[in-house]
Amino acid sequence: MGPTEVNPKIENDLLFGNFDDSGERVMNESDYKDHRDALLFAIDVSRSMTQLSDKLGGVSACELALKSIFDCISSRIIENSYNLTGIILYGVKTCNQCRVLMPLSIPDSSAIKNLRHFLQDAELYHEAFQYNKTKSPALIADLLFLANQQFNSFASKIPSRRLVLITDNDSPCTEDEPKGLLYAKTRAKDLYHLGVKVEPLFLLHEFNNESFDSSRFYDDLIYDTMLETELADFDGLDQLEIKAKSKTQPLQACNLSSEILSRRTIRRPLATNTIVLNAQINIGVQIYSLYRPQVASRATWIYAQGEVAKTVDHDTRIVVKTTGKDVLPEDVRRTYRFGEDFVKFTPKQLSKFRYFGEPTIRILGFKPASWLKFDDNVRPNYFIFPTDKQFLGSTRGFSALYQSLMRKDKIAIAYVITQKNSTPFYAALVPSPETDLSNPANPDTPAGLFLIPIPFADDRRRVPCIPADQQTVAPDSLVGIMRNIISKLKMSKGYEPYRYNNPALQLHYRALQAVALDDEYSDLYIEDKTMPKYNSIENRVGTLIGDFDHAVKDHLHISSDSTEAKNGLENEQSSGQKRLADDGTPITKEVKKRKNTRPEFSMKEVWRLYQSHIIHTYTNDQLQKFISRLNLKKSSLKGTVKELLVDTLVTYLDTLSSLDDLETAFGESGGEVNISEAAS
Amino acid sequence: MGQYCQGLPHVTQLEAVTSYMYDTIASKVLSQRKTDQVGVIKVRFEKWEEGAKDFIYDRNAENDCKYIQQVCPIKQFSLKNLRELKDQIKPSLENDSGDLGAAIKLGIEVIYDHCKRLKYKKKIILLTNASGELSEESTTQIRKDFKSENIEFVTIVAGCLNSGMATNERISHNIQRLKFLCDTVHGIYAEAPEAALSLEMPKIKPVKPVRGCTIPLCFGDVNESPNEFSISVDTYPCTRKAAVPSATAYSNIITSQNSQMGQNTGIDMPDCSYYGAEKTAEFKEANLEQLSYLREYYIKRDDDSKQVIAEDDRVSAYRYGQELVPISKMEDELFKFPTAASLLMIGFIPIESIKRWFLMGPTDFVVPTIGTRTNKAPNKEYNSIVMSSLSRAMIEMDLAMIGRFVKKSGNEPEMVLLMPKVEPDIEGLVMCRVPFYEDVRYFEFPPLTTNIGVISKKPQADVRYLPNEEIISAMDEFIDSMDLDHPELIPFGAPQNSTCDLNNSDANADDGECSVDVVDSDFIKRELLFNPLLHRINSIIKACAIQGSTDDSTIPKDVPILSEFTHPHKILVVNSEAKLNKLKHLLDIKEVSEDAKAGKRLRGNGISAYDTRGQEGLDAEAILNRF
Repeated sequence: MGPTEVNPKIENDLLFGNFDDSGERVMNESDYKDHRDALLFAIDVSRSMTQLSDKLGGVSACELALKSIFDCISSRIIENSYNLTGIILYGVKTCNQCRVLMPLSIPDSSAIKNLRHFLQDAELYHEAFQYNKTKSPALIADLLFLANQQFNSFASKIPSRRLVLITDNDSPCTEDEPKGLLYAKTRAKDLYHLGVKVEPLFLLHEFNNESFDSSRFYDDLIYDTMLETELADFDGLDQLEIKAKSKTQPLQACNLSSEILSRRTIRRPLATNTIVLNAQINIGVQIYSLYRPQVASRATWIYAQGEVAKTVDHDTRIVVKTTGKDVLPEDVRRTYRFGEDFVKFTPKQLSKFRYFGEPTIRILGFKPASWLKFDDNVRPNYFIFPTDKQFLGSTRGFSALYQSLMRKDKIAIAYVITQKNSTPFYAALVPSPETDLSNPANPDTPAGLFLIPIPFADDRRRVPCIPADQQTVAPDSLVGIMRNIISKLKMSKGYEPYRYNNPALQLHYRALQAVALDDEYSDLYIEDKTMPKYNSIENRVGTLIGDFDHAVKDHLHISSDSTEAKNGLENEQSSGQKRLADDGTPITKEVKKRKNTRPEFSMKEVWRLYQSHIIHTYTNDQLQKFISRLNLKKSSLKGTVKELLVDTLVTYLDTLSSLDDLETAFGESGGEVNISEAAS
Repeated sequence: MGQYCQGLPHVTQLEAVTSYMYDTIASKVLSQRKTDQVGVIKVRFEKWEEGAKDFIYDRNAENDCKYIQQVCPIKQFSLKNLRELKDQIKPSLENDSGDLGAAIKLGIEVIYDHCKRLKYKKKIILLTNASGELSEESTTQIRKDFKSENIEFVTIVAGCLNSGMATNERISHNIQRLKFLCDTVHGIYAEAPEAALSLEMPKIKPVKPVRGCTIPLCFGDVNESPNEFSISVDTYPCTRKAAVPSATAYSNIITSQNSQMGQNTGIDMPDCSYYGAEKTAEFKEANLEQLSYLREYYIKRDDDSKQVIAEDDRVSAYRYGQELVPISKMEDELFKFPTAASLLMIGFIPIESIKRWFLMGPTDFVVPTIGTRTNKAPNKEYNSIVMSSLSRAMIEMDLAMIGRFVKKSGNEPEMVLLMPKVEPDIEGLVMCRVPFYEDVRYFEFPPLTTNIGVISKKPQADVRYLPNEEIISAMDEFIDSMDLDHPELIPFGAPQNSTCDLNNSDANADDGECSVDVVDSDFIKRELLFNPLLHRINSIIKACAIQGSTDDSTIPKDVPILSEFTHPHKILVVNSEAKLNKLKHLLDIKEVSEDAKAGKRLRGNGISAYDTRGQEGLDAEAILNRF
């Protein structure tokens, strides 16, 4: 029950501000998460939107939209849990043609349950999605008014407010109803004054002839507000942006899902800075961080043993280590150590030591892009994008720098102080190309400049030198086989983050949702997209890999025929690895134990174990792998993960008559999984 | 040695060379390594210190050995030792006897006694003005000893060698002998200014390569397929953030216990005060009390009173919208994603397809496991030959590998890119983490090159926001004029060989120099980009400790190299001036007035900024009503 000693570093942060070891101000994840966002979806319920479409997998555009919104809310609720979300259906059969399906609010588990229930219950669903045959000309105006009400009453203090309009109708007011447009314009202006951004998602699908002409109605609606910006706002960027958005290319309806998901986070810069060219030209920029490891972050601690669960608070006492005497925070000073001794400085001196000047991105000169090497990396990088807020014309200057670097294939080297009091570093400014248009739904790289810190000389470590007599250089013959192998495993598109979900994080999210919604843990299994596509590898280079292995062994004068040698090799190898591991436990034992209890993992073996009813001897991991390979539907059995997995697999194996069937099924499912498109 | 140096009227010869010694010792104190030890011998001093015990040579000896004394044995130094040392090293004004050769011999003996047969890196630094005795015979003996004991030798000579002093026959003879000695034992001969210059070069703390983990690198399904192979690989750090000294917290209040003891007056110590060496020990007790932080956890009862609870009774809770969802440790275990330590090959990508900005942090070397000389890894030949084939094939094909990396069983998997690295010392891969889907923030940014948003029927002056071809070519010219490979740029300091070695051989007991295996002849060299905070703080601590003062006047300025790359080089600035002016004129970037900024600020406060429109005298309503 006694107080616990905590890591002084954490406390130091509390007492002395957010500086990490290297004296950099820590840019918190919460810098993003605390920035709240209110997001209101409006779905246009019309004849064409509710028609079932084969292209969308047998559902209507409305249904797809709602499902995507549900996914979006489900992830927002975990990843950005303070954000508000709401849904409005318009054009429905209620008296004023608008229905608030979910009021703008921070959703809770009951809201999610309701929405899910709504999606699953066909009757409720169809009742809600009955479109109104006679559309009121003031429909859009009414909708915007309703949205205004929602934002006003529930999100008056939220800094970011967005209305996402999902529609396939480019002319909600007919030409002979000019009043509709006028009303709508007034309402849109109101919304704009409220600071609400309207982000339309225009759909193209088979029922509206796959065309969408925003000039018929929406250009006017959104352009109005734009002109206003030009007068009031000096930020040229914002104007560009709104224009870009208002003309968002109409979407193919099938891309709707990812487009909606991409709305879940809002953009927010970490800091504002200035690119300086020879002390003469200033280009205002904002700094963003786009790639940071996302981790499941605990919100708080809870004490659950009482009648009601309560959040746990804590007091921190600073005491003298030797005497245990309390010390007040204002009596705490900091000093540097010199060996065992101290050299004392005043707080003023200490902060002076850390000061290197005001924030700047000072260009020192330019180098060919090839100068920056792969191992010139140690700190996370930043993305910079122009803003005209401080310096009018920055966007122009930035774009010129960007385009020039891009076409000359050069990078800039800069001396950078990101924020006040942060430690300077040297960085390469690397231009990134415009988004790959073939993959618009996953714009993992926006066009702009990346600020990549170059490691200090102090950060570089020595090469782990292997003594020359220990080095083995592969003969050309082996390199040749390897070349053959890797050329067949080439993925010419490069690394694409969207292909790889973090399985550990996904599992955590699923688990959290399951606990929150009182679901069974049964659908907790998640597909591990990070595993190699073994079937594809086997198909492409299986034999080559075998050949290579044999050739190496031949080269080393190990008999390749003798399986004994191979097994021996493996045993040795694994025990060798284990011995070198630092956990210090008697490892060889563990290896043996594992060998005894865990059966070999092959189809034959699975079948054998299934027939002798001991399939549970596999690990959960192995079972999961096997199940995912076969794309099996999870059993709904209630119980432990193991029971569930075994039940799933056994149920499936029961349907097969022989090992051959299993092998066939395995081959088929494997055939779909492609390691890459590079076969050609 | 008491004489002043030529051209430096305030620095004695002794000070000129000892500054090198104090700095070297201070670096060792800062490193806090137990095996980083130092001892000092003085020769040709004024008089014996009273109570000095550590003589090896008899003070009554007749010859020149009389004035040789071991000031302190080889040990790990502290601030106190350093201060004591300073008190003992003073220029002798009258004594002119003392044998340099004998002093070096004593040094070798002392090192031999201390190190025995242990694997120390041994080094003797001779600081002299070369005016002592140095006989031909003794240098011959010393030469042998240096070789047999494998001791490094550095000589730093103070004095005005090109002035009248050099006409002194003894000195010029000595210098010749010392130079010869240095040559034959591959030692370093330097003069004081050179040594002082070497102090201006920040020293990199060498870090011994430490293995991160040993894991299998697998090709194909090791569990299932007959066509697979795996080798064992080790990872070693390639780049890591070097730690900057962090300030320790202490209490500013003197404990009552100590003030009762009368050691202090009971008044708060002024922050700026410095306590000399003789006070250091009590200083620690009296004032600089180490602190610890205690945490007490509690929940609030209904009546607002606190109920203390044990740390272990807490359950972590995650936010789910408005709610908090507690997840117990047991559930946490259940939801843990199972993994096995491994590096799995996923596929290969063209090197030119790598988006450099995906690299998310520090890099690691991946090399085949070969074990140590005494404890050889099984299959080390197999491991090395497969890795060699892999890295060579990757280089030939210009491919990098995508891998799935799990450092330790149970750890979360990471996606990594691996680049081949084949160099004389290494045949392996360099690995860096890249983002998962969840790690990417899919922010939307407008395009930088095209005006997608321009609507044809209302031609606005959008060109205002994006540059035209004229501007871009002006930028092209500017970029060319600021090329860092400009032939007139001379790399910083262009350090001569001797000073460079002086620095590097100064490394810690069991480490060599930190090699930077990048060959570039350009102006901005990677090995000259130092962490300014780290070296600033280190040099401040050292200087203040040596000087025994923390006055602002004691605090040294940054060494020149730290500020070398903070501004564009003069040559480039001059070279680009005309181009820059042209660009500046074309770009016409204007600072936004304070008034306009104030308008922006209103929005931040929740008041609509749009109400302030029309400040440039435009009638907003009129424009709006055009439609």
